[in-house]
Amino acid sequence: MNPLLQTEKLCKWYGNILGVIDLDLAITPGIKGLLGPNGAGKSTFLKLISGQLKPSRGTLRLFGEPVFDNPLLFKRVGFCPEYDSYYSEMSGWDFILFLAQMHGFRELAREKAEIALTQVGLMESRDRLVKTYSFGMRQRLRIAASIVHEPELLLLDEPLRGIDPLWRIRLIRFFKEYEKKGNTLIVSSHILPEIEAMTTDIILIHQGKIFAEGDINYIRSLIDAHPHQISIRSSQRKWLAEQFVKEDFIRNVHIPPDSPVVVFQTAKRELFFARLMDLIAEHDIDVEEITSPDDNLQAIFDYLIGR
Amino acid sequence: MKWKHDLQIVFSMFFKLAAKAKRTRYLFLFSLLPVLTLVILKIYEFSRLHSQTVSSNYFFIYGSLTIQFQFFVPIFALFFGTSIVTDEVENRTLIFLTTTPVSKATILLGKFLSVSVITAAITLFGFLITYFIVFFSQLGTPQMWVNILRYLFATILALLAYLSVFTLMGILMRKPVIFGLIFIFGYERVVQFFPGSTQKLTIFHYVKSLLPSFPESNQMLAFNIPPSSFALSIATLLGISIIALILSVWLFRKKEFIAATGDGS
Repeated sequence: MNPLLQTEKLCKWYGNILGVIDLDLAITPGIKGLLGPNGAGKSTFLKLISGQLKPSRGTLRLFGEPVFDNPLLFKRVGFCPEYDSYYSEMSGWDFILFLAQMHGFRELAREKAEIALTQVGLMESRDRLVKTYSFGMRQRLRIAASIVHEPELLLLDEPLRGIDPLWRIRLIRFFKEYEKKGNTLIVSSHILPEIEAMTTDIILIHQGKIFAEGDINYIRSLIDAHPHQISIRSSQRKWLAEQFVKEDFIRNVHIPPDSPVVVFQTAKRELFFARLMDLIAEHDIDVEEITSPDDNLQAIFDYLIGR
Repeated sequence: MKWKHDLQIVFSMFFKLAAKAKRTRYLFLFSLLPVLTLVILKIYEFSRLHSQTVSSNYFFIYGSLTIQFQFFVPIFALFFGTSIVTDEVENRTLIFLTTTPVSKATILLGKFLSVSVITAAITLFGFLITYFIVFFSQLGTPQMWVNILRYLFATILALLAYLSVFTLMGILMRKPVIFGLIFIFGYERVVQFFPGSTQKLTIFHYVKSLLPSFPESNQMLAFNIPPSSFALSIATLLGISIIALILSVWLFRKKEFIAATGDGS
């Protein structure tokens, strides 16, 4: 299968700061998850693909063509930026209609705008000025802006940021359906479950480099070996510590002095939580809060790169 | 003609936005200050409350003309011209325009045209009212109409030249307004008083050369050297506009625009 997007030794630096380094990628149709902690280089990569930045070195070809200063490519590409930008004095309808017209639609522009706004649930609020929208609505409007011309390649930079749970589910479903129509999506996020809900095909970026690429289950298997820390705030923390210390999946138990929590370290999160649920149900344990301080991509990356 | 359609879309969208913008409203109100002053003068003249009052004619020659060509035209052009690109970069909306199949040249020219029309409208509105109030009694004389056409023509060409230069500054610089103010109140003013023909290196010299004759006693608009010919002044102002616009388009296509508060991720 011919790749839609191909990079060879792609580098981008800003002065002395490296954005991405030696990226060799070939992206074929489907949904590709771009995962990495904040500052990993995901946005730089998407800015390169969307023609906002010129490669400092190496090549980048989209549909076989260079991207920078090549506007005709954007008949086939849609981009949803991560930042909250908008024309404050415009209504949602005017904004999407304008973009439909910019994409070359004349008689069909209104129909296209209507479809895009309906897909993100903004038809009822279409005549309101964008500045009166909530953050989540503006995020959905940006998604509408990126799909109004039904591009073959959709670039989504943190598309679910600030969106309420109900619309998250709807949009994830929409993205999956969009892919089934033969389109390609590159979705960037620093939240693993968000990407997992859309695809199993991921690229892990860290410090501007591709850290791992492929099936999410492989990454999961690496992560599963990661000794997670789980902190439980409970008045019965000592009793909980006694119950867990006997379990072979527990690596460490720590009760910090002058703190109402007990911290467990385990490599088997599922077993830990299953046992915890049993204990809570059987003994009516009073648990105020459960947190996993290192259950984020940065912690996982730190672990994977052996810090 | 795809580019024509695209240009029309960009123009109409940004014309509407510019017309609604706070900047436009404030500058429009500001542009009416000479009208207000003149109305007060006229009331004085008619009521003869003050025997030594400044005549409205005197006010036009020494006040309105100076304000119009030394202040309103370059300042309005500065605020509107630099905003063409910097507003998009600072508000991070440029991405919506540059990820469409419309060329950057069309985007820039479409915005430039919309801003030019708005700037011309707010710059000329107050000036024309002032002119007609002052010369109301001479409406029947052909010279009055010739003069107004020359003022209109000079204003439009001056705006084009300043807007183009400030559009270029907006693309080149991070703080274009500061450099623009230095250009207007520093370079353009100071060079007027230099000996020799250095004042021919300013836009203002060619704008003044297009104006109908006025008393030498108006120091702000006076020439230290003879004015350039009408044709040379037109050609120079148009040349400056075209060169600045070509450079702007070229730079706009080649430059990477990352918002000042951008994310390096």
